[in-house]
Amino acid sequence: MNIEWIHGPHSHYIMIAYGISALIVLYCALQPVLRRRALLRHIRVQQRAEKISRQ
Amino acid sequence: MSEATTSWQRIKVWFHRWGSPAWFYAASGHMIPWLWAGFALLALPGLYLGLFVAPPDYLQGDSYRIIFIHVPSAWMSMMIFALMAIFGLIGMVWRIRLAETMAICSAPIGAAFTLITLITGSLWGKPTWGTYWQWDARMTSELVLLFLYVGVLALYESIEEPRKAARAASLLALIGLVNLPIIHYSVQWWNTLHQGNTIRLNLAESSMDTSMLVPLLLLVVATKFYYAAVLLARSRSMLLHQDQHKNWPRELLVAD
Repeated sequence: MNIEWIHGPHSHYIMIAYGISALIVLYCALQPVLRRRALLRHIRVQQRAEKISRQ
Repeated sequence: MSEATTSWQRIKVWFHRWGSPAWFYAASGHMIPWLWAGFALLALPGLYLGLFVAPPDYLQGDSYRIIFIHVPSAWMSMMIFALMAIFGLIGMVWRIRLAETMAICSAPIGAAFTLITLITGSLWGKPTWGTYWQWDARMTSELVLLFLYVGVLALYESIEEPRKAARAASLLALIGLVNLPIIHYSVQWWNTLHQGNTIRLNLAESSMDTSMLVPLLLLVVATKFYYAAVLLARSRSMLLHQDQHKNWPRELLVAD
């Protein structure tokens, strides 16, 4: 296993590049999932409200 | 009826099903976990080989390891723009709503990959060229691509009616296609600081050692799985948002 680069002079450039990329990739992946869940919750609440108002 | 006709009809029925948001929502829900699994199976070994197995470059030392995210992101930024224009064209010609949705949902993913390309390229440029940024043809055209993605999204958001907005944004995406050959050939057309193409379609002609080429190709394919998974997730979320007052989302909740 070659991990000597971690102590090398350019390691911070590599770590920042990978770190920022990971954050962007993670945000892009999670955002639609959270949005969809919020929407489903909203629809469910609306449905319940309609049911109560009908009663 | 011949077997070929029956198969063709089956394909046609399958294709038409994609026009139904309810069917798409359910089908994509089954596909997404497999796409994430494909992404993980390729990205994890790719990152491991790239960061911990591949040797340092004889000229650039270890800073070249940024290539394993920079190159796949750069290719994705261009591929997604081309796909966005194709989806947009299909939406404009055949008025298929799903194609319009996919065109718009591709834009933020493509913009994210373009941003990653610019950031990682800049962080690679500092130790290699001694500067974070240069108004060089490749870098400038990639920055223009980011502006085009932002433009497509801004145009979509500025029009209230979603389908009209999608068609206007698709038209801008089609016009923006002209930037893709400029990005690709910029290193040949102009004398740039950015290096020329290292990887060729015929891999035997690539001027890269196998120990570096294998993790790079693994990550190149992994990003395709990532794009497909996020595109489907975004499209599901957008369709649900647009159709929240229709019956199918309610029926879906009842079925759950």
